[in-house]
Amino acid sequence: QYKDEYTVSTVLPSAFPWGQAADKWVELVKERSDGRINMKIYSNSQLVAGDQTKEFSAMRSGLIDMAVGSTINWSPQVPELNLFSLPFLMPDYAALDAITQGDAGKAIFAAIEKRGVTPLAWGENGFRELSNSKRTIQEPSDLDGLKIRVVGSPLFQDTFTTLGANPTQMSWADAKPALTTGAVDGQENPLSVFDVARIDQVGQTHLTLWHYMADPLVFAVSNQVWSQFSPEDQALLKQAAIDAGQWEINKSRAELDDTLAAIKERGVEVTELTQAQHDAFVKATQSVYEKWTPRIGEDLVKQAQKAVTNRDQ
Amino acid sequence: MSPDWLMIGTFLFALLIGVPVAMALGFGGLAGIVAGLPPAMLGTFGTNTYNSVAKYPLIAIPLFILTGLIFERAGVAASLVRFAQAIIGPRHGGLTVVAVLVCLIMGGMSGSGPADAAAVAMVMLPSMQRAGYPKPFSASLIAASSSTAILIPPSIALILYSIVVPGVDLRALFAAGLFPGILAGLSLLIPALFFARKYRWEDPAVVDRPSFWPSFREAIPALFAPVIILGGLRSGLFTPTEAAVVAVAYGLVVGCLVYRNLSLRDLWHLMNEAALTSGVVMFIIALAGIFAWAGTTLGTFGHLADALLALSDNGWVLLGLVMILVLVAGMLLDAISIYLILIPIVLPMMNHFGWNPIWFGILLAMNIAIGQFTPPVAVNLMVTTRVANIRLEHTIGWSLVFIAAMLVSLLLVMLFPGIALWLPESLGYVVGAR
Amino acid sequence: MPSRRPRKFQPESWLATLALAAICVISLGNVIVRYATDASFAFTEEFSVFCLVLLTFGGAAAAARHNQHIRIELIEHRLPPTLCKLIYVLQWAAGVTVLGVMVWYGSTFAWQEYQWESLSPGLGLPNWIYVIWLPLLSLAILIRLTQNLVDRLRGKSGPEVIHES
Ligand code: NA
Ligand code: NA
Repeated sequence: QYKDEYTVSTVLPSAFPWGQAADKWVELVKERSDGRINMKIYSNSQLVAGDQTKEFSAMRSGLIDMAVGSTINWSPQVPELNLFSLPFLMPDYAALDAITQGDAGKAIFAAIEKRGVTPLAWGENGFRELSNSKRTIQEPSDLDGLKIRVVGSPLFQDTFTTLGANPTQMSWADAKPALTTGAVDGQENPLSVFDVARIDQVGQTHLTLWHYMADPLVFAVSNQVWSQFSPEDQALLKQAAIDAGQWEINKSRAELDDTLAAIKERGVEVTELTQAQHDAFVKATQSVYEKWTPRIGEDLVKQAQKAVTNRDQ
Repeated sequence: MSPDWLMIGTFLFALLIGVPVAMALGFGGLAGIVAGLPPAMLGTFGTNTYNSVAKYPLIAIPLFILTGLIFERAGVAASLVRFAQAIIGPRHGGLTVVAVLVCLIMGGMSGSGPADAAAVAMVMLPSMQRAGYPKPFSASLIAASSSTAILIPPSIALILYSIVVPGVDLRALFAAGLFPGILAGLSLLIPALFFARKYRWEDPAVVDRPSFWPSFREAIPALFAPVIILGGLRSGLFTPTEAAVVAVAYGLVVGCLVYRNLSLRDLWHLMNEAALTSGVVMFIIALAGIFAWAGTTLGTFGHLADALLALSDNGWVLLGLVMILVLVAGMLLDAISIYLILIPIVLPMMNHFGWNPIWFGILLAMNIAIGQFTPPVAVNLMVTTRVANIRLEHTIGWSLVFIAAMLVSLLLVMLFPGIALWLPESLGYVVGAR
Repeated sequence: MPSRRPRKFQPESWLATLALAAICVISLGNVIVRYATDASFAFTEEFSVFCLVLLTFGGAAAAARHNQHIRIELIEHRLPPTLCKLIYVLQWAAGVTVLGVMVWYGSTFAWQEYQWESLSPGLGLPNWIYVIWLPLLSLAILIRLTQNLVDRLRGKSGPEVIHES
């Protein structure tokens, strides 16, 4: 017995690549099932009263049928997902792809499945860049004392504390008012989010492209719902998710240059790091690996690092 | 019956038989979920009741409730009344001006009306009665003027609006509330002074006038409270939450050291009272969250919004309709429930017609302020009539007069958005398009 | 108009009051530390928010004991006493249904968080130690509602107090 309509939770709405990924999935499923399977998107984490870090739990208990979620937001429930948040693990897109498309990716999907949710495909939120309202950031000491909004995992707490900043965990719904009022000095998000959410308007005038991490998106279905689909429809949902994910990954990477140009045009000071500056950040954050590798899993971290080393370039 | 109507019907029925508003909201949500969604969705009662209140910006609410109670108990109302009397002096209607002025200033210290209404009523009702004002008139006037506390910053209602409506800067909202709040207060004075003259209340010969300087000196600490709150917010020194806790600290200093009428034991009782009141308010937020969740997931709010939008293409007609809807809701509901239930329904309209979200938030707040002294559910009026020891029914006539007066000021802000938007714009906050 | 309620020891009322005091101390401490040292303890926000949850449900339980939640009382003033008692029971039944559902699904949620070892997003503490308070305090509200019903059926009514909103 299928539901008339399945709920799909996302954090960001259709104006962002994240929301577009969900839109595409819904569209493909509807088309390919001849309208038998209908999904409705609820953005801004409204199904969990705005608390995006509860999305995974809600999906597990059947409150949410499906979701396109970020690995950061699900990491409180799935510790392995902290892998992507290890600072400066992935230098470029090839490294990211090497992890998600390789054995490490399979191991992560297995971990998600073990925690009670069925993962289907990868999408992309993009490399996260640092912005703030106070000063240009080129080296770790520039971060001293800055209050930075982060989300979802104590790993961020450690990364930013190590760098001398003052991290505070806060949902997206609370973040923009906090930036506006100056309760928080800075934030880190993909360029697409910085652009569409007009983060420059809330005083975030210094942007540093430090590519310190990227959070892939995961298309997933609650187990309670998944088991009700016929095997054919399961395959249909999965293939649609894979296609939607690939479509969104290509689209968001292609748009990156235009996005950056638009941001610069609005008077945001954009800083790119030299190799030496980049290395200083890598060196400053080594202690995070020592603390977090055991929690994420030694094998998984090694697997990922190997995939990065051997990536096609 | 469709789940939509079942949900709304169950809620209204529960409300009318006297189930507390919070639980009536939960009960309506429950009925909607059972009727229209799979049983697993009931899990929302275990997660979203928690998530709805576990939000950092909401911390300002109990803090501003505590601030209001501390200033009330510290006795600042009495010193403000003497100071206002010294300025205004005895004349027909003089005490009505004093009452309104003091309510406006007290509104700058607390986030909502009832604490102000109680404080001002206790100080002013006896002297107004001696001066010849009828009790129902005075009780209605104080109830109405203290309702401006949700317009004059800080305001619990506006804090909630900034959380529910994405992308609205609370500081801009606070700034936008100031002039409409003052306007609303002044609009009450027109009928008040008219009737005071007509019936020759307050014979100037028999009322004394306190001397200016001593009463001013005594009022300084109280007058400073709104300055600290507004100034702190404006200068960027504090976030709204920090402003709230600084106000609490200032209130304690003033109460314990300056007026010396707060002891440590009092402080514990005050905290206890504030905790209880906050519990009542926040519990409504928790269960209104369930009602809103059910309404969103069932699509009820979307259907209602569509139905409203289908009524007319004219923005002004719909704005008028929304205002009437809020006014009617204000007869039955408290401010917080109105915001949490009606905003998801009216937000699509705001976006459709491109209404400025800050201006719209102030219009809603003015309307909700009116609801605080509109029977049968009228928190402010309940407080003042109890102090006056009269029945709420006796005040209906005077309440209608003040409702009409405040509706006129609402209409003015509707027609001239600048009354609300000029201040936040000149302070340099982002207010969006007019 | 201070309400002088009988000051019996009520654990949930103490808990709520302490939670409010903790919020004040943490927030004020944060302001002072930030101005004095240019640092801040932003990580405490997770505790502040948790205190807010305790304050909400603890305060709601204390308020339920004396029927102090905001509601419309019109109908009770217009009914003969016997019908009035029926209305009291209906009001109680609606409240108890809602709170019963909260207790049940709150416990389920806390149990799941425990079973699946979910961590809190800010500090990485086991999340069930936060969530468990929802069913516990909902149960407290449920008990207080019931005590209040017994009082009202016996013709005792507590002092009415008006709360802000
Ligand atoms: Na106020
Ligand atoms: Na009312």
